[in-house]
Amino acid sequence: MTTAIPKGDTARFERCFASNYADVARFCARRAPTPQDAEDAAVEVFAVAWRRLRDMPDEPDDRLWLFGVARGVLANAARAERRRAGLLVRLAAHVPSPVPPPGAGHEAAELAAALSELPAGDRELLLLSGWEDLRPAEIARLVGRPAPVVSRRLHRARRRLAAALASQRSSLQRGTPPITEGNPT
Amino acid sequence: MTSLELLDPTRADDPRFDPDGHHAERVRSAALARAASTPRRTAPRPRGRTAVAGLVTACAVAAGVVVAVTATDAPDARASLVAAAERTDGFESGRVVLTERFHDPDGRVRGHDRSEVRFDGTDLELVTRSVVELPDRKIERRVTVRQFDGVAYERDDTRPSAGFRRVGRVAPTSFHSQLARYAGGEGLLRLARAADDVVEQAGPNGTTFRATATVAEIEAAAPTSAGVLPGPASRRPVALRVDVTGDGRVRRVVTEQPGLRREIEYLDLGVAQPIERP
Repeated sequence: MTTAIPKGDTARFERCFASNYADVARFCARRAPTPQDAEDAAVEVFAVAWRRLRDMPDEPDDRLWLFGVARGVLANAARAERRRAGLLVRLAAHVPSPVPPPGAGHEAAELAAALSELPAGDRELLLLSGWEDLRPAEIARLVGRPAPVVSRRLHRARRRLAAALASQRSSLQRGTPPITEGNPT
Repeated sequence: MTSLELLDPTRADDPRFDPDGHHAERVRSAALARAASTPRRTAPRPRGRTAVAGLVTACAVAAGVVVAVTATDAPDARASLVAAAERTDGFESGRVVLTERFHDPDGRVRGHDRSEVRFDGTDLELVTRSVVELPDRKIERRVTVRQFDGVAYERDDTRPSAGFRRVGRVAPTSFHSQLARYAGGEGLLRLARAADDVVEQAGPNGTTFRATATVAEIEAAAPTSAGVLPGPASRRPVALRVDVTGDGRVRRVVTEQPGLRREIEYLDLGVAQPIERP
């Protein structure tokens, strides 16, 4: 059903876009396979925002709501891509492991390799905390889990990452690189 | 512990994330166009129905169900279209003009944009003008992007005295391959192979092919032609028209659905397009 768009809605959308565009665009760019896919995902996020303006919470909670939409959009796009590629469809949230940016150096490669060893759920929590700078309570709202559970999982994920990094470094010192650079998922 | 920022692929000074930049404007215009092409929700749907609808969609998706097109199979017409698309994709220079018109169902938000790309090898120039009319104001953007010798430059044409600024190095083929992927023969080829009801009609200046495809199929073939990510709306049929010249090259591709019309024109294919260093 469609009704006329009240004038206030336009102003609200504009405010929301101006305040959140950069964060949403970065959120998508960090997780989409290509810049084009990232831009397309950002477009979809704000299209959803426009269509569901009445459902969207006010500032500053709208940012987290938009991240939630972006998370769903990226997961849908990843599933569609896997279907196109003829791979098995896994309905679990898709969290690609980051690849070091070009020229990021040895430390970044080590970190990427260590991160790729972690379960996808741990990786997502760490990246939401490390990249989006979200607090455990905010991550909990985003992923739909109780805050204490997320806090514990985040703590455990940090320990696992530290252990994986230590393992990486000791393997490299022995001259046997355990994981090649890249995206294993 | 090493900082995860080391792996962050986004740079702090990346112009793509400037809320006042042309990327932001493009996202805003495209989002409004996309929203305008699907009904706006004015009240929350009942949760139960949403869950059932979601489940049905998920099952259909998981089963690979394609709610598709009419059933008249025309392999000869499809083969001709594929051949035209392949021939068109072989050109290394020419012009491509992309135009779009959209409005929401009650006509309160409307807009149009036109982008002209001149390309020659890996060099190209993209001139875009986009207008979005909201109930209380009009947003207009004009931008020129030029890629020369593997370096991208950008100019904000809405500022009279603005000059080109260097955006940075780009992979030598990135713009060109994107053009082929999104607006060129590559996407059209995939679409031609996917559509089941290609109908061919000869005319005095060439041949017109018509077909219907779902938004999802067009999205898979050429994302900028449909502009909608997979979702419930992706099963909506879209009318596709391709004009092919007498010598077998694609001249125009038009996709149309309620509230959204997109057209891609291929001009001067094979004609050198000198691109100047900014």
